[in-house]
Amino acid sequence: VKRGIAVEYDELRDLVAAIRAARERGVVRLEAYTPYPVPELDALLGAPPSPLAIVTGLGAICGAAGGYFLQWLLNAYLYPVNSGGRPPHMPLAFVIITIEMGFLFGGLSAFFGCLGWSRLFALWRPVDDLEGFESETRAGYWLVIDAGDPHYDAPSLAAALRETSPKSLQMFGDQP
Amino acid sequence: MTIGQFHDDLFARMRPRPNRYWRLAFAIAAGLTLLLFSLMAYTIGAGIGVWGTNIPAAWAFPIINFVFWIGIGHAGTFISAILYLFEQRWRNSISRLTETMTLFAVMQAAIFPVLHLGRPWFAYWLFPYPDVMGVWPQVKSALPWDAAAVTTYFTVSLLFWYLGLVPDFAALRDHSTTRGRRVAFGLLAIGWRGSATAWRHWRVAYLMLAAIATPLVISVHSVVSSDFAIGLTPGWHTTLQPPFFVAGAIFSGFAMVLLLVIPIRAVFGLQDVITPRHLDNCAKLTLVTGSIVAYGYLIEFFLGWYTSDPADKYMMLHARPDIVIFWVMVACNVIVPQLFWSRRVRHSTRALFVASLLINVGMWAERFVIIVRGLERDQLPAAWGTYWPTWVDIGILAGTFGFFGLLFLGFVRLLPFVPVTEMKEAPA
Repeated sequence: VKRGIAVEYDELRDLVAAIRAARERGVVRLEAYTPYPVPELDALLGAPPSPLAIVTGLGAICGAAGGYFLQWLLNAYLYPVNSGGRPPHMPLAFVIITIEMGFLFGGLSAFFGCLGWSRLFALWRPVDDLEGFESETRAGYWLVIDAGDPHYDAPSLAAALRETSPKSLQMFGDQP
Repeated sequence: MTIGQFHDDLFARMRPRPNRYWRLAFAIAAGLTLLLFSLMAYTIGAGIGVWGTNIPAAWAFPIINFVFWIGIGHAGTFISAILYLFEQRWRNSISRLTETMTLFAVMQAAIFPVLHLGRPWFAYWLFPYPDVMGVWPQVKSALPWDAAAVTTYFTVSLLFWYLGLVPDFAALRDHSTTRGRRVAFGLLAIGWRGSATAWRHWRVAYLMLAAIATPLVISVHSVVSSDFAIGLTPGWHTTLQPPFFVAGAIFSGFAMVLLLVIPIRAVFGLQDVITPRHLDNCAKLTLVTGSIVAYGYLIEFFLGWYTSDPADKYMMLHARPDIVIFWVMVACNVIVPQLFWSRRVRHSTRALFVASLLINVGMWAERFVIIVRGLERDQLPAAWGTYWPTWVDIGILAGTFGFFGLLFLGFVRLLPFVPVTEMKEAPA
């Protein structure tokens, strides 16, 4: 979001009312900022469910399959040593590392998937320059509407948002 | 209290000026850490002949300490992951402390098998790196299983811990007074802003990591126990080992949680955050896991008698000088936890602290009994021997306590040890 309208609220219910008001006007490019997770906002914002559960599952399956393949490659193909008369390809002994690699790659997928899909790593974004925006990690609830939204009409949106009794309302960036 | 006041109050209380006790504790921990690194250097330079470890007790102190420290780590993940999945909200205020305990304990544990290799600079041979010699790890041995299980456990615990910390780092970035702290926490917060999108993915990732960490709690000590169970040494070769090890690990871990949490809540004045209910619940879980451990001891003796294996029977029924350690184990792990049936004991921080200390002594003694007594009286009487640790063994063990303490004291000074963001959800 490079330009748009940002409003701050002291109460979660006011933020919810503001999201409803914006959505009723057909706005789809909007983002809420809260100091703690609020699962109810996902449906209000019309956000799709997070794909991370599937990503984690796929990561775990790939990790487990890769782990098993690597063990077969090392002990049955590249370097088959007769240890105590056990067969070189011994699935029972391969189970533990297979499971552990499943957990490891599942965990790595969940973590890095979260960073990627949440678009983290950007240490600065235009919203950071909003006055008082740091309250969003303390107790402030923010709603930011992107000026790129097809239904973006700054004066009428601002008027509608002022009715939801915000603590502050700011326009930022070059307004269209 | 509003969320804003709650936020300010909790962060302010986590940053008091270091007092005399903190400095004294830090000095002792730093001294022991220095001892640890000096003795590690000495061991690497001179070889592990400076330890008491020798045939027949070739595992002895390093593996006792390894199992002990890995066990300590278990309660951390139990509290943070398993109790999270079961939506036990009381876990929130102590989850960060216990997760950190896990990480630092696993770091201590990792020192021992690496030094025990004798040539620790070849530790990377445990992992399948592209090797020009064409020699690869033998994955049918329990040692690569351990390497895989412990590194996975550490990595997943670290990711889980860090993901939980990111929103708190962002709060510290936005509300710190000095530029240095803002920059440091800004980098650690990796651009977290608390957007609904980020929270949506964060919730699922956190849940997924909790779901992965939960079986890991069970799997790590089960894998460690298979180092023993797949061997033929008396007292080791039994399918009892995995559940027995896991219960023992959670038992000692909860005792360690109490040992750490009781002084921290007193020093930082967090009695309203870490309440008597938290201590009471930890004591109850210690009692439950302690009962499983006691049952394990009983079954061990029963199996020794029932299987009629002469080596097993001899090992269990014949007293030797180190029988004292066996009775320390029974007193600390079977008798002391029985005090936790009393509500008065569970609500007395002093009694809980002393009992937890004794339980940790007992759990260290248990690993000594399992590892050393079996090795000293193996199948062949001609191979019997007696094990005595040297001053280097004892110094390294003491040093790991110092290093663990040093890391922990640094953590509580520098980072938010109560997950403020998760706690905000409750008053909200």
